[in-house]
Amino acid sequence: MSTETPAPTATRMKLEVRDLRKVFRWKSRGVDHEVEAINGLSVSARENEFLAVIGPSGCGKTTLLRILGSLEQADGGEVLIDGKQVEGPGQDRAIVFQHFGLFPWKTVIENVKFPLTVRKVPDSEATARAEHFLAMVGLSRVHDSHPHQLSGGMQQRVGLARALATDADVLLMDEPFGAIDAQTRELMQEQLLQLWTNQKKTVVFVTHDLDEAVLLADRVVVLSRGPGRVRDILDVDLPRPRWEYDVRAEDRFAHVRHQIWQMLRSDVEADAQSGV
Amino acid sequence: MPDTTADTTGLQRAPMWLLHLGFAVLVLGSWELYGRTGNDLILPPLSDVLAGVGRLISTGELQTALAGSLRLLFIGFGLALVTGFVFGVVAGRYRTADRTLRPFLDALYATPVIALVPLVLVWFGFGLSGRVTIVFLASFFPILINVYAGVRDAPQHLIDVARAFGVTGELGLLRRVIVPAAVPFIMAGVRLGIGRGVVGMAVAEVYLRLGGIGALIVEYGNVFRTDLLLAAILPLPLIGIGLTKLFAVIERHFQEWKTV
Repeated sequence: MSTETPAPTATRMKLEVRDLRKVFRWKSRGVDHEVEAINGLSVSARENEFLAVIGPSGCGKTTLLRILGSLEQADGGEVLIDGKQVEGPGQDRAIVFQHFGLFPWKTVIENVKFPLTVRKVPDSEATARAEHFLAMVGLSRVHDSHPHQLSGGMQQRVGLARALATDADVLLMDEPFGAIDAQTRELMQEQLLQLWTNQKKTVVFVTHDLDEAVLLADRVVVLSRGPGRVRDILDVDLPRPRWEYDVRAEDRFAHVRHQIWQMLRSDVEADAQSGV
Repeated sequence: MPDTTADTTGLQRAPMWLLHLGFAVLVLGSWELYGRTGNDLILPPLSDVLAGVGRLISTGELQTALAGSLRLLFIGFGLALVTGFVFGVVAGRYRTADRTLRPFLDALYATPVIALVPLVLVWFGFGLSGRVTIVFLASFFPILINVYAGVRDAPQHLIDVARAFGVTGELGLLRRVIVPAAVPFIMAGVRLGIGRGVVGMAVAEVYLRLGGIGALIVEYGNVFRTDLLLAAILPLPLIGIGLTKLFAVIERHFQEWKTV
């Protein structure tokens, strides 16, 4: 460890992304194509911070998350966790996937145990931990069901329990509630805030939903596209716990939401005109 | 949901086994009646055929023949299962292997095994290796092609999930995601493979070297004992039903998640 004492004013950075670059290359009909998905993207998250990432389609927000999770390799720049560069998937990060990513042939509890089984955690301990986190997301009674027997909201709670069971400090969430109906989504958002308050995780939450970003996050990172980079970062600055009042009725909520919308608007309009 | 089938009676609520039994009684009863009125050479009555089964059992012919046939079937099918699985996985996972082998596999898949009999005869002779080769060739391709399809179409997003949660290496991915995801395909291949294997078995025993059930069929056919000929054929569909049921049970065990 470093012998230097950290500057007392600086809050410790849990996650740092420096000057990230990602190029997708492919070949079609013998012609090489490439598209720059991300270029010069830098952002960081403090310990236990809830960071939302929002941007128009094609801004590379999912790519960013996949690079953070080491599912995709960057072509430039670096990702640091606790000051150390990440190399490959690690126990310090857990992903919650957009389409839940549950193994259909495994039961609910086997799905939650999966990361622990891979790490060769003894079965009794893995079961106990899986049960603990299933109870935490309110799913104790469906242990032995298979994912297809559950609603989308329940499936994503299994996904959440699985991520929490890994004990990772950093939760990477890729539009986790995008495939869930609107009413269930609101409940899930509230539940996520409660879990995050108790569990103290650093969260990177990718979404295309403005309300969701403002409702959940400490800061909202707005990306612009072509190629993806950080356009602005906004402090939400609404008091917590946010499930104890109607956040959406606050002036501050409307103000932040409006600011984000102003930034996204031109990109979205361009999409609408080009018929994307 | 409204029932759109033409059934209007209580028949549609009858249990499956009752329908099967009813149909069997109808067909076998007609057989018996027709057999009693007609020529024994063309179609002896069912009762004569069953008596023939009894005779073949009492002389021990049927048991010996069945044991020989099943041994052939299981060796050939077992080899086909192992090699079909390995080649299917490799072809499904490695693009180069896939692109190199595909046209050849498609060509062989479409070739009827019976057309290969003379070639197998020249290459492997009349012995067990020749007969096993026929059963193997019959079973191998359906298994290979299905394993290949299942492995090739293994959902990328689940592979990502496994990697994200610490699974490393090709073998780890195969064991934890790709093969389990391909189980429905693999089982379909196994079922097709066993059906084709039974055909291969009969072909090998009739055309390559007389032996097992095939020998009984040919021998009694040659002496115009149609009752005993049919008695020897009878075990074949029973083997088919038995093995299909067995694999259906295994299949249900593996893919509870697909059938519900």
